[in-house]
Amino acid sequence: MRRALLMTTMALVGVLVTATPASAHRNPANCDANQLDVDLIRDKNLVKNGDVINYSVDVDNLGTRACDVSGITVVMRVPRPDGLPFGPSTIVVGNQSYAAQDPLRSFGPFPYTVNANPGVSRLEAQVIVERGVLHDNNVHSEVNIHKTIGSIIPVPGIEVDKTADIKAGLAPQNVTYTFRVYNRTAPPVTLDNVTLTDNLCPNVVGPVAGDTNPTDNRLQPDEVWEYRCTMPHGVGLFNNTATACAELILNGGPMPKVCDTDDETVQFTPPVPQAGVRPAQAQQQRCTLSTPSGLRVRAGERTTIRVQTREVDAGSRVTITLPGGRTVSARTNSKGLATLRVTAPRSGTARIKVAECSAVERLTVRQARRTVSRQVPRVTG
Amino acid sequence: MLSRTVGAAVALLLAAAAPAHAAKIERVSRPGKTSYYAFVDRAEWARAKPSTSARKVAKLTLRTPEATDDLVMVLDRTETRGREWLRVRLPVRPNGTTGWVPASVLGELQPVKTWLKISTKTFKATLVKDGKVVFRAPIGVGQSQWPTPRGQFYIRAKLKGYGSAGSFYGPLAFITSATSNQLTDWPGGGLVGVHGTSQPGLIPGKISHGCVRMRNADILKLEKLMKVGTPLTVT
Repeated sequence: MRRALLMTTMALVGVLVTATPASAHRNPANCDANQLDVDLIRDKNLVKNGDVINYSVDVDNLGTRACDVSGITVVMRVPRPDGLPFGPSTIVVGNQSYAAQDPLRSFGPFPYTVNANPGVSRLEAQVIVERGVLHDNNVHSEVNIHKTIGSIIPVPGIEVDKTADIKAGLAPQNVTYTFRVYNRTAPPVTLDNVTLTDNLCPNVVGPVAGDTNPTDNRLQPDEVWEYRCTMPHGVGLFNNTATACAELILNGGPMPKVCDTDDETVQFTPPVPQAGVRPAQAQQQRCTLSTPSGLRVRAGERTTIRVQTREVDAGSRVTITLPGGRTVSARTNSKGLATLRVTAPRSGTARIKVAECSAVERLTVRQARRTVSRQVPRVTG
Repeated sequence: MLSRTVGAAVALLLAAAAPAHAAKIERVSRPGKTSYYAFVDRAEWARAKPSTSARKVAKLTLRTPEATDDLVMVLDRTETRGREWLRVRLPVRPNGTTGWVPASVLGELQPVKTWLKISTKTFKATLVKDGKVVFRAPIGVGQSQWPTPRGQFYIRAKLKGYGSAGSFYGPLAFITSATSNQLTDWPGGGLVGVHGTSQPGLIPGKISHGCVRMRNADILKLEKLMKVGTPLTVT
């Protein structure tokens, strides 16, 4: 509705009634107003260069107080390349009279092929009533009417916003990039054929969120599509660029493709902290824990668990909480490795934590080995 | 790799036990101090040497004849071509059989600090823990025609709760890795046990078919002190 209102803006520029010399009389006798109505109509609201707009003009002189009008000429002007209503003109009605209560008469269509200059987003056409005479009194009035109607050339727009979940730290890192794609078309119009690529991360997946109708591949104005891509990074500075593109399909054809790019830079430093301490300049984003070895844990059985941590200081405490609540701790060495020797008292779930992390790993303690049987002995006796 | 097996304690043993020219084979178990056993995770062949092309000695089993998880006593370790091998004592005939298995087919080595010693001469059972005697009891051993086999063995499983059908064996029986050299067709294969008895008056002496008999109170006391995997020496 709002769009309709915007697109169908019709501005009555002016109805000028001025005194003219007396040469007739009021007709009909009880009339007292100019109710000549001239409307300019177009068949397309949103257009692009090359589209054809068909204009038409409706004229009537209806209304309870309408007076006769004579000698009117109606001229229509199509838009100029700069969008203003000063293009070539067409005489729609030439020197005709409209008696009071004359019904509506339509003229046209008058086709116009859109050829706007770059950057022009609004095209205005105009209809003008010239030299009419209004029989409203002994001294008749002159009738002039100007009306314009606009069409919109939308400006397709797309925006991509790229973020990395880890921007700095110790190498190696698996970095997950998140891409958010917005429809920035003005006025709001759906975009088609959306694509997203990244020059470093090859396996972009999505949209994984935000697409309310995943089957149509159309980015609605109020949607934000989310893509993701995960890749490993070694030591170094990595600046990679995401590119999102889309097309606006209008009146059966595409407008020029629009694209947007966004850069994200991540940097990772060598993995072994000097002297067992992580580099001061390293921005620690999170604490990670690789899958510990020795996960075949059984109740009552001594098990060695090696926990490989990353992005924590050497000497950080790693704690395993065994089923039943007993805890065993060890500290990480300069390579982030902590070795825990545990004997779980019973089966259940054990949790491994690193000082700077939340619960980072869980493992299941299985039932104890069976070493006792109720079979009747078959030993030699 | 060393840490997978036994850790620092083993490292200390190596220097004393391994001569310079055979430094690659490391002694793992030291009965009465710390010995190691391991559960069998994969039923692989034990071989005469630490090599996949060496002669097959016996195949490991996942379960004992008594349906418990099988285990072996670990004696030595070595590495060949980056692969860790363990020499284990096998619960097969003939008694005293050992073989090499890849460490990966066994579970993590389990330490045990006890050592059960059986004397067929003095009819005494002695349990040593951390180098100290913690248990001693009179026993009955095999009669002359069915002598209790001598040698190095280990406790392989424990049977209890079997009810009146097994009352001859008392309330509890340990299964050892030893087998009778005479009773080869005994049900279950002629396994030698350490168990209680319904005839305590016969103890001590040569009274059994090869098993080690104890008074019921003694076997119950031993149960509290000794766990499965304990090395056993019969002299």
